[in-house]
Amino acid sequence: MNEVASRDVVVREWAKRGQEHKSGSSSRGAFTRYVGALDSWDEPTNETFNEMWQALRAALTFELQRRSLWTSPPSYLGVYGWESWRQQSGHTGCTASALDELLVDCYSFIFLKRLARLKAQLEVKPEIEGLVFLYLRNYLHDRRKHYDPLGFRVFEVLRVAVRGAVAAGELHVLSGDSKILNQTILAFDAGDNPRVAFEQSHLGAIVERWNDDLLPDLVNAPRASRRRLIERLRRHLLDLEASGVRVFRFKDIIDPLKQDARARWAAIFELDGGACTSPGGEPAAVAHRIQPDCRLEEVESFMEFTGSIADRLELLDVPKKTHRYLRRLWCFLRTFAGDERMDRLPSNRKLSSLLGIPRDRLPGLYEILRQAIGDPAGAISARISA
Amino acid sequence: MSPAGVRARLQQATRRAVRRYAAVQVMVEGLIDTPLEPGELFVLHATAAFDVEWAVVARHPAHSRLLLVMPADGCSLVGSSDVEIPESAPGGPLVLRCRFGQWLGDSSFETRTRVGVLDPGDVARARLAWSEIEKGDEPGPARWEADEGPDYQDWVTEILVPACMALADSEET
Repeated sequence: MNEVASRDVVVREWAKRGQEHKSGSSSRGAFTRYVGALDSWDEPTNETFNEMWQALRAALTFELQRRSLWTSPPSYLGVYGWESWRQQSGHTGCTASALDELLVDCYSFIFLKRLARLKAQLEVKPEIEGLVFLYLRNYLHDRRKHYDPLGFRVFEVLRVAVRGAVAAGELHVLSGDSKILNQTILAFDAGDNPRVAFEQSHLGAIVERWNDDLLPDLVNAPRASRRRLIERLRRHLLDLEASGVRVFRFKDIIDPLKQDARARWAAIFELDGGACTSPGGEPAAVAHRIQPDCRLEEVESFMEFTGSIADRLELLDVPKKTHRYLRRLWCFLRTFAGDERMDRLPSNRKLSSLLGIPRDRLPGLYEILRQAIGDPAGAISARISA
Repeated sequence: MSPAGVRARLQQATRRAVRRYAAVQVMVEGLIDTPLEPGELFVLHATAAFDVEWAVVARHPAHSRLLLVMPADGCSLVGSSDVEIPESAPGGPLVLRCRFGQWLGDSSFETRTRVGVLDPGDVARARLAWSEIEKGDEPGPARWEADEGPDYQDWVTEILVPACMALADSEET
C-alpha cells in the first residue's frame, strides 16, 4: 500500500472513531494507551509512541480536510515555506513535510501542555480519545485565529450571521452539521431539495459583491460595531432568495467571500504603501538574494538551498528569542520568494506587525541572515546568482 | 532538523512534562483525606462525560460546609467572565469558567480524585470575577464579543451547561 492510500485508510478509521466517540461506543484507543503509559517510572514503548503518532497524524489530516484547510496553503496555519500539505521536503536534513511540522506543534499543545488535563480525566473514565479530539479542534481554531486573522474573522462573522438567521427561522439547515460548517446545506424553506445547493454556479459572483458594502468593516470593524456588521451580513444572506438562490452550501458562500476579501485587502495593502520603503532597503536586498530564478535554478536546488539555510540558523549561537525571530523571518522570506503574487516585500513596519517581531530588531536579524546566507562572493550566493 | 532529531527533542520535552506532572502528583497525594481547601482541583465521576475539572474557589462565609466550585478545563476559548491560568502557573494551562460557579456541600467531593492545586493569586482572580457576576456587572464590548463566538457558545452548551446539570443532579441523588 502506498503512503497516500495508507493515510487514507487511517483517516477513514479516525473518522469512524470520531463517530464512535459521538455515540459513546469508543474503545480504549491509541491516545489513551499513550497517556496511560506516560509516567515518571517508565516511558512508552516505541510501539505505543508510533501508534499514537500515526493516530494523531490521521486525526490532524481528517480535521484539516473537514475544515477545507487541506487545500489551503500551510502558511494559513503558520507553517511557512511549503506550497501544500502534501509537499515532501527534497532536503533530507529537514522536517519531511508541512504536516510533520504542524504535527510536532500539535503534539506539544495536546500531550505536553495539557498532560495534567488528560491524566485528570483518566482518573474518572477509561478513555480520553474524545478529549484529545476536542483539544485537536481547539488547537486548529487557535492556529487559524492567530495566523490567518482575516480568513478567521470572515469565517466567524459569517457563521454568526448564518446561525442567527437559523435561530430566527429565516434559514433552515437541510443537511450537514447544524453548528454551520463548510458542508452544511441551508435553505429558505425546510422542504427545499438539498441537491439544488450543488447547482448554484452564479453564487460566487453574488457573494463577492457583498464586499462592496461590507469591506473594510468585515476585516477591521471595531468590536463595538460588530453587531451592526453581522446584521448587514444577515440582510445580504436573506437577499439571496430574491436573487433566486433558495438552497446553498455554507462553503459556497464562505469561500468566495473570503477569497474576495483577501484580494481586496491585498490591494488596499499595496495602495497603502506596503512596498519596501525601509531605510537601507534591507528586506529587498535579502529577498533579492533568495528569490529563485527559474532560468538558473531548478526548484529542487532551491529547496535544498533553503533547507541548508534553515539548518544553519538552528546552529547559530544566539539567544532563544533571536532564534525564534530568525526562524519566523526566514520562513516568511522563503514563502515570499516562492510566491509570484508578491513582487515586493512589505515595509519593516508591516513586517513587524505581520510576524510579531519588534521593528527595531529587523535590521539586526537581516544582518544575521545575510551572514548565514553568505556574502555576495560566497559559495551559496554564487549558486543563486550564477 | 532531521526526523530523528525531532523525535529526540519530543522525547526530552515529554520527559520534562511528565516530571512536572509527577511533582504535582506528589503534592496532591500528600493531601489525601485532608479537608478540602480553596485552591484545589478535583475531577468527579458524576461529570466525567464532560471533560471538566472543578476548582474550589471559596468557602461560604456563613455556612462552612458549602464550597464555591467552578468548572475548569483546558480549552483555550476564553469568555468574558472566565479566568485564564497560564501554562507557567500551577495547574495551568487552565480556564476557570466563573459564570458557572455554584455552591455545593463539601460531601459532594471525592477527595481521592483531587488532581491539582492552583496559585492563590489565580483563586483570588476567580473570586473577584464571581463577585462581579454576582453584582450583575456587565462586561465591556471587547469582552462579550468572545462570548458570542460560535465555538465558545458550542463549548458552553455542549460541555459547561450539561456538566453543571450533571453535578446538580448528582447532589440531589
